[in-house]
Amino acid sequence: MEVPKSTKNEIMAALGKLLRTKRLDDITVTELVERCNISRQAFYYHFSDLYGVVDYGIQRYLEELQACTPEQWHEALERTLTLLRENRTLALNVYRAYERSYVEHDLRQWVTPLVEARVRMAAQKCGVTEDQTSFMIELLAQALASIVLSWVERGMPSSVVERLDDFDILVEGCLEYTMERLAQKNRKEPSSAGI
Amino acid sequence: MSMMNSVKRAGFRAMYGYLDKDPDANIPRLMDWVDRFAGDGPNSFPDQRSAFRKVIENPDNNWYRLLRSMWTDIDGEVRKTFFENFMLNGNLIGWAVQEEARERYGCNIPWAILLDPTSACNLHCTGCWAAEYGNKLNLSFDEIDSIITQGKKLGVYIYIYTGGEPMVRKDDLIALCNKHNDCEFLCFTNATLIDEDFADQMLRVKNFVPAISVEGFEEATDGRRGDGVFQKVRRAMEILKERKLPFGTSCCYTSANLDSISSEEFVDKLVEWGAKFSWYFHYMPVGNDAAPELMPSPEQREAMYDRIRAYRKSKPLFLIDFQNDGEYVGGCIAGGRRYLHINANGDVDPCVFVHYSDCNIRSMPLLDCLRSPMFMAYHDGQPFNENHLKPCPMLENPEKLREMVAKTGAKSTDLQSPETVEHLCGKCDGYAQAWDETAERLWSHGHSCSDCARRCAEQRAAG
Repeated sequence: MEVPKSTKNEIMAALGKLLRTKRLDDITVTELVERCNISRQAFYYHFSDLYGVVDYGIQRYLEELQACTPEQWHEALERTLTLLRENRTLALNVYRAYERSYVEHDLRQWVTPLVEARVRMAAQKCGVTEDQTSFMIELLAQALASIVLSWVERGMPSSVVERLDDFDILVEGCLEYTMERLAQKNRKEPSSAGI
Repeated sequence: MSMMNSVKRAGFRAMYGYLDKDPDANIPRLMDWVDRFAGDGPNSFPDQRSAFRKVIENPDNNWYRLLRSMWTDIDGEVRKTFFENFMLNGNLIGWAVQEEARERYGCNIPWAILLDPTSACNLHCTGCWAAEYGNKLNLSFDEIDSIITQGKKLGVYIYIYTGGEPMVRKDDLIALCNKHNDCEFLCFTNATLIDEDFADQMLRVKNFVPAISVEGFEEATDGRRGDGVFQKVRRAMEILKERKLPFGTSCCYTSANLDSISSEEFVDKLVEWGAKFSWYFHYMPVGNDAAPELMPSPEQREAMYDRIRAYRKSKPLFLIDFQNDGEYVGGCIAGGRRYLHINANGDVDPCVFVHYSDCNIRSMPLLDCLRSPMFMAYHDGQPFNENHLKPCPMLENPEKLREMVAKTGAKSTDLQSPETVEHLCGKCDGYAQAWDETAERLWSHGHSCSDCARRCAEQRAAG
């Protein structure tokens, strides 16, 4: 049984279609493989379960996103949220099959590279420690994940773009300022800077 | 997941993370922590703890070298999966579920399940039934999936493929590893079908460990398995080693190959080739075409007993000699006590060597098979001998197997040529009688007092 390389993508596409009509936890592997016209073992050769297919789809999208530059982070995020909104039923059918803590954890990981690029750009310009940089990345990733999550929970109303604009202004306004203050602090207390 | 299991899982992961960070520094420190928690009460295993401490405080100790090599020779993700699936699920969590089921159902519940995905094999080895039988019988993907799903409910997380050549079904094996990614899969294999692509898939699923069959060096292996097989086996080992994938070997010792297959030179080669474990099997005269003259003599089996025990004190390799190691597991482990065997026809055999059964996985749930008359006869009869150097109801106690088959009406499940129990046990009577004296001597010396055991071992070593 030689499975062609595109089987994974066919499975992903078929699941996408099913998710427009029902929740992820109401879909079975048997139902999915019938749609793709493949055997159960062909499915399990590639994926451990349906959640694995969702992970695969998200990973592929994130790989595309990671190609963007720090300057494009706001645009990338806006594009993601617009895409989610356009596929609202699908996204909610996935979201509702997971526990909130799980989504929160994953969401934080997904937005971290976006925020990280931005924070590191600011950190380069002044003498802050790695610890301080990590702290800022964590803080902003947490904030951004919370904004996105509560937006999803509210059924993805259109006002998120406005929220993101506000978040962007907040980051733009205080990131450089905070970094500079931290660097000043390090200059005053060189022993505690731990560089 | 129960509260207790969540606690076990969290504790185990914390411990593993600690070890993984800096194994050299943290392995000994872990024992300090264990000692503090264990206290010094009667159930605190002081001897075991002190033995383990001896191992981990001496970097030259063979067991320490083996443990340490898990960090130098094995891929980090594969190692983590092994600890999680084998140690945590297969033992810590699985054992508690198995014990509960043993109590509740009053029957044996296994620790591992051996199964034959197929009767087919790509080689044609001398004396092997698979060569003649061919690709006639298979357990389907869904049947194996069902066995594993049922097994997990009973706490079984370790599945061992045998056959036939399981790798004939390599895509199905990978799919099963992927689906049951909380289990550890081992596979007896001739290794000739392990190629770069399959090894990459092993690296992807992380829970598949081959036990490669070798008959000894090139001449012995090719003599039985066919020209060029040894070189293919070596290549397979190299492919696995390159990718930092764990593997072991499986060796069948006979009156003809015992000296070479248990020689220090051979065992050192296994370590050099990268094997982490080597399982030795006593030749069993099973089947109408078996060759009873290949059964080792009492002197040969005693030599095996001594050699494996000596290597266990000196070689960084996990060696088991199943027929001589009954003392560590309370005698016979078959009949579902620790394992059972399901053939490619779905027959549930008590043992990989004892093909008499009264149940089939295609018509009965696994739990009902474990409660069938034949399996209950094993349950009620174990241990078959108080002397664990005579553990088997066939080889050393043939009257026991005759009795069980007569009482339960179990039928031969031999796929090619059904053998009567009388024919099989008749080949073991003489062997059992001949082995008895040696077994009694070794057992009484090994189990009276430790000083005596040591003296006897020294005398034997001195010849």
